[in-house]
Amino acid sequence: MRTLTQAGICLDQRRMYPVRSTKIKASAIRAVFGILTALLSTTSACSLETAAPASPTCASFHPARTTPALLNPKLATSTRPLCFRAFAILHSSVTRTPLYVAEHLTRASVEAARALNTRDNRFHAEPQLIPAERGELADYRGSGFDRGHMAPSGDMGNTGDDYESFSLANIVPQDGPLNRNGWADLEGYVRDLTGKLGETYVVTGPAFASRNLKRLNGRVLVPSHVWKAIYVPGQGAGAWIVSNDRQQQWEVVSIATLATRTGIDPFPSLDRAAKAKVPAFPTFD
Amino acid sequence: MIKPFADDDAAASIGDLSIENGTDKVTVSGSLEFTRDQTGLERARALKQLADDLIVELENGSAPQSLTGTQTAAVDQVANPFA
Repeated sequence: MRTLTQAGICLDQRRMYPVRSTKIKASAIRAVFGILTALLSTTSACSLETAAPASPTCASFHPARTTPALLNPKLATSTRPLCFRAFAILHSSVTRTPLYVAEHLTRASVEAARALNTRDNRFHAEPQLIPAERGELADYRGSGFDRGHMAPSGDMGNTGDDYESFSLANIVPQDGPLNRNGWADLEGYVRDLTGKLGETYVVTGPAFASRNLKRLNGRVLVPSHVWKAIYVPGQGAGAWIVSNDRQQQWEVVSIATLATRTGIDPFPSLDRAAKAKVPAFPTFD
Repeated sequence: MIKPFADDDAAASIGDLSIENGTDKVTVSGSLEFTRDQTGLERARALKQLADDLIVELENGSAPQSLTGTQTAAVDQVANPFA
């Protein structure tokens, strides 16, 4: 049985992913996670990566293969990186939610997602995590909060990827009207933008930025805000942050401001000037 | 497509329309375009099936006059562990 205390203070998440080939086969990822799961019983996630041989990873979801950086060290407690076929997650067993979810969207991936005319799926607890670490369906049931996707189902171009997006490791408790309206519009806007500009790197996550937090079933923390950062190579970067409540207060911010507000820098590889720019994005209130 | 009210975990979508199942409610949100082609027809049929299944379940089940007090899970408040 894995122990949470060993799950690692991985301050430098950039070292979590060895740099290697760009093409990743799902079967290879599965194999790697089999090994990871086995090794995690005896060692922390941090030391594991230096001990294990370089393997295909989720690094291609990040610009310059650089994973988001946790600027608030408290966020790093009991975290675990999870690699899926279409996105990469840093999961926290303190919140029992993701802390961020990274995707790399392309014109082709958006077209494939749009071609999936109807979808059928099931929310499910994440099998790569032990029950003590993860959110369960029962935690959300009747809570009054939606199960809000971080990597959107609508970005997924096949049923396998779509199924993975329904893992509760990709879900946070989200205000229902926000999830169903403005947030869904934002997700569509990012797909449209990707179709126009060719590719985007997208990092989405919850922010825990209030003195007190609501908690579901004594287990899952409700974020005070949710945010989405995008980087378009050759164009620039920026982010949205919105309060996770009926007020739905939207803000368009620079990457630097987002990092200060959330404790997470989604794109550490960008230079200071790119991070300081406030983009001319619309809001969705 | 979902079987209305049968479970709390099934979800479906038709175009940009999201459907979430629940034992006490089914939620439909988003928007849906019907193009005048086979894709539009497929979507129209899926939407009709959903509406038909909902009506059958509500007619056959013991649908009460109104459902009250749907919030069942405990929601409490804690200090922010990251502050």
